[in-house]
Amino acid sequence: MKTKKTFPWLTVVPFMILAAIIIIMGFVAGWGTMYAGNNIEALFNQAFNWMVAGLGMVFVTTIGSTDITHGALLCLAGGLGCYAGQAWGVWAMVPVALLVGIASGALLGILNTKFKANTFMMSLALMLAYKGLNGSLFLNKRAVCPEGIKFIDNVWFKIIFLIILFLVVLFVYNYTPFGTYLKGIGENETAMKHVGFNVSKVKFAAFVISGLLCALASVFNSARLGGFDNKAGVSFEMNVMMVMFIGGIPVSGGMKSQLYKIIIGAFTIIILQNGLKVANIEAGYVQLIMGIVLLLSVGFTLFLSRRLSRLNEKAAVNQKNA
Amino acid sequence: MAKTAKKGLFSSMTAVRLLLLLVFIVAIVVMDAITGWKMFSFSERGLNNGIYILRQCVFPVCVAWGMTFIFGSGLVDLSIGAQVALGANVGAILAVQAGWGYVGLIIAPLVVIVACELAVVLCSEVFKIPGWIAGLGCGLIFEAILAIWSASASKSLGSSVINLPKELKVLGTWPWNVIIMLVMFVIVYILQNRTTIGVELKAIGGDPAVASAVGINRRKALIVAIVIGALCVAVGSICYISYGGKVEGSTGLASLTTIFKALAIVMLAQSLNSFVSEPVGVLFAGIFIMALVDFMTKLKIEAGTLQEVVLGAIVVICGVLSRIGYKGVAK
Amino acid sequence: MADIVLKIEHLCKYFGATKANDDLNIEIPRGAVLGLAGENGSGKSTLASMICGIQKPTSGKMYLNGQEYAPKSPVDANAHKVSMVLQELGVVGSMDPVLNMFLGRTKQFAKGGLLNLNAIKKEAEAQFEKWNLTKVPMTGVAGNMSIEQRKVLELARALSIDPKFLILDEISQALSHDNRKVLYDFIKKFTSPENGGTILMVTHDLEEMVEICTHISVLRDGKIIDTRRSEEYEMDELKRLMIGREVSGDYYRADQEEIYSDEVVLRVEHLNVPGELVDINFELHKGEILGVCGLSDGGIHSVGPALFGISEHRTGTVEYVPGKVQLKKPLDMIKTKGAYLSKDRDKDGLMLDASIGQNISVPNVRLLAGAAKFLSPKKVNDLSQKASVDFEIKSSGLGQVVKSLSGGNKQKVNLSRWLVQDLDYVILDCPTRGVDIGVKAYIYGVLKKMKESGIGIILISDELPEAMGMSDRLLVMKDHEMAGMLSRTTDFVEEKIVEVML
Repeated sequence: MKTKKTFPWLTVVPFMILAAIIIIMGFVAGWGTMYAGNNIEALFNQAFNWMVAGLGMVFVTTIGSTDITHGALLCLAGGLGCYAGQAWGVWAMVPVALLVGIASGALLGILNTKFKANTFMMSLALMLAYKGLNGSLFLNKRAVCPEGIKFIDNVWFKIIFLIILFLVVLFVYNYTPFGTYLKGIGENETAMKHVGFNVSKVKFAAFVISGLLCALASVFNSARLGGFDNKAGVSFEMNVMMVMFIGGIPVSGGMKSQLYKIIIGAFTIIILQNGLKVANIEAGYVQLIMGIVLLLSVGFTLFLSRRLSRLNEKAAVNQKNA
Repeated sequence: MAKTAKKGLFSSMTAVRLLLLLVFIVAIVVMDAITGWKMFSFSERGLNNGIYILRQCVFPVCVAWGMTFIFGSGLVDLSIGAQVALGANVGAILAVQAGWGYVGLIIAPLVVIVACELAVVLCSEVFKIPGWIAGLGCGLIFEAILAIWSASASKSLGSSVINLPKELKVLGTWPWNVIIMLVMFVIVYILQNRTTIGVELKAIGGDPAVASAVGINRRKALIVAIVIGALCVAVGSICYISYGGKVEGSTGLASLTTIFKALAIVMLAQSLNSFVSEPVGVLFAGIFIMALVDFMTKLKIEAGTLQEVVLGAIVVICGVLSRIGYKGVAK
Repeated sequence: MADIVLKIEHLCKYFGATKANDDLNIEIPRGAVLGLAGENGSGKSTLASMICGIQKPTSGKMYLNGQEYAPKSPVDANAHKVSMVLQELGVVGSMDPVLNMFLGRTKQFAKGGLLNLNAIKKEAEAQFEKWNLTKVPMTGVAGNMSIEQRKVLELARALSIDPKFLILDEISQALSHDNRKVLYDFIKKFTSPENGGTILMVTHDLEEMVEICTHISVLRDGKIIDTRRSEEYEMDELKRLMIGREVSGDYYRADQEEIYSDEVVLRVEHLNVPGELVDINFELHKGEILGVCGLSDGGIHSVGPALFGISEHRTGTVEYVPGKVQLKKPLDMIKTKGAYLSKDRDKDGLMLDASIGQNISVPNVRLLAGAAKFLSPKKVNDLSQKASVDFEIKSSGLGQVVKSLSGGNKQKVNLSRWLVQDLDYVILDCPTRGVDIGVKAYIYGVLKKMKESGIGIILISDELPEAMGMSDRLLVMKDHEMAGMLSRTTDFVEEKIVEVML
């Protein structure tokens, strides 16, 4: 006996919110200014970094942990990459930046899998430590981005890159056992230990991927900004987190995490933020709105999923008596 | 059999505590030696640098006590830094602009910070948002409120934060702020170890399901814990602004750096909490860490640079130590 | 006219459309030990929870000592001298045992707001003395005590309010044999005329219920089918009343012969886990059901994790004989077509918030992934569908969240996700725990079929009748060591097994 299908609220709502934001911002900031060609390009460039980093951070979120290092890591990886590029030639920039990202992810991974430390606290400590490192490395100096890499700061290059990256990540996330294991760990890690695969390896990989993609974003960021100083990357991690949660990814990860939600979240936020800026709203108010939006979206996603599971239980209970 | 075991435990506990105290003293002496005995030297005005270190402790230690209550109830609230800035500035506004003097300076942070913390609790309890996200979101909001006010103050007042005049800074001077810290210590110690609320909070922190089954009103105890914690933070912020004269706002959750030292203190105290009760642990950890910071400054390692790396390393090491023998799932 | 301590009149509890308790009427005489018998979902726990104030009835009334009784909370129930020891562990691990005992009631020891810790400790010790309970350590944290000690502590806590009506929900499950005797002595003392207490017991152990209880109420589908003095019940009749159909002798296995192939599939030598297992040696044959039984804390539940490879500091060898592979970590067992299902399915087996399909898929994605690790969602779905049908999982579809399933169906999901594979051997720890009799019988049927198809099964069970009923050979454990290996053909008499166990 089939129960009637409940309306897929959880999937549809993020789209609805995106549509609403597009429309509202059009009115608030002026359709002509907001959706003019060059503004759309600016929007995309901003959102691009978030999406790249988000595609990495989502692996950590899926297993139920948090990686809050991204802002400081962006600066560290990008800055060191720039230094390397200046010192050893442009070819060195990308490998060094990626290596920094991988090392950070690996460190967090070891702290979680081998030492069983609380990832949130650890990533917080690492973030603040990286800020300190950034302060001493880049204080009053600017790491200048080597010329040779700047060609990647091209909208079409980025679009194609993003599509390829998205497809690759999508494959790993949805069409491999690894992806299933990730989501399973987010649901019930102890049960996963009883399935037989190496849970620690999977978790470690998730952390490394998160660091790696953040570093990748930092390379693009350097190319765009021309370099790094110690103020770069501020509130980057907050934005990436908002991208994930406003898009509808559950805070505790698990089976309900889906990649397309990152894309939706990124566009929702960037249009919201940019629109407010274009409409000349003060920075303080913009942050106020972002904070409220974050709380509302997380609360709402949780509310919806709780309501759904209660409906499910009711249906099941009726089943039992059928 | 039980009796002798108990006695043995007791004496080994005292032995461990004495050992920790010894390590504490030796470490400080060694640091002092490395700086050329500058840490406890006297300045031209006749003040001992050791007193300077103690004064530096007051803010982070008070915040750390507040954190043990707030985090202990399960709410890992990172908006504390933003709350400190907001509360201190409201206090300054009332004290200076509205002319309320000390009354304003003291009451405002108490009210504002308790209100902020309750707002975070509201998000996590009523809207069921996980504590750490509620803290992050509210942190953004609190920072924003101060930023909005600061922006308009820049235009009208010429500066973005209020400066306290010398007459209103007495609470930041020696010996007053250290006395405040010691009074807080006694209060916090009694609350945690010798009152029903302390037992209830430990129960809730240890096993919420059991606590509610025996009739402990979780909401009520949580709110009491949060309020006590917020009051501790508020006292800290009063001392903070009394010491420095002003508190700058921040954006993008840069306010996290304000509470980083307090966080390191809490982590260090927590990793020792099987030997030393938390209020005591916080006090000693606080003195140790501020001595360490002073040590680094004397060696020309400035704040905002490698100092943070060292503090981060301490937090990481303590985080690892406190999980030794942890058999559960680490998230 | 007997002195009735608790009278329940037309008590109903509905959860939405579900009638968890439907028009219950009982009169419990003072000094009685009333056992509630019934399958999972029959309403026993709901009734107990209403008496102790955790739930409020939808309709109906309760009368305690003639007065209307409607507790608003467990604390309110305590005020009426009703207390309880519940199934879930009720002790805070990070606090010391003394504070645990008086949790929530420390105010009585407070002078001017400050607690007198010494007085609390004295009072705690006095309680243990009064009821002659096995002493537990009073220092350190409760988390370092064994599960048994914690249960005893909870009992002491329940008694410290000087109750006249005590509810024990599945308490003996956690206790070792010695402590069960202490419990039974305590029950006698508590319900003696001098003390005048009354006990309500919920337990799955029917033999225990018949022995200890003075009266038994049988619940089925939320209704009370019958209430009688326990002497008036026959075991088979009791079982029949509980499930409403004949429980024939074929419940377990009909045959009395041990039959299995000569081929060894698993060889275990000198298996040792510090503190849990001492020098375990045995061989599992194809087509054999090797039972493992013993007292709860005798080590039987450590066998599974040790074989699977998740125990710490394990020494000795576990060999998959057909492939000559040494099993050291979980992946080794999986790769040699073995599976292990832990006793605690909610914690170690299922993802409660995920769907049936997702749960079934996880152990199987490894096998379904093709070249280049590509996992076809269609293949995954087809497999989940097949498993669901093969194991007769009753649900509204593969998308249904597992949390909302009954215990029996949950266990079917748990089992099916492994048993749908082509396995050579399985290790099952209490596969019929918390499962109603209908599903139990189904699972035994599945086990019999598996045996016939040549799969080697290690059946770890804390239900002696089940172990006796299903096994070809029975490995009896005592104090973490092997006490004996008994054969179905010759040794399966309950007295002999119990003798070896003790």
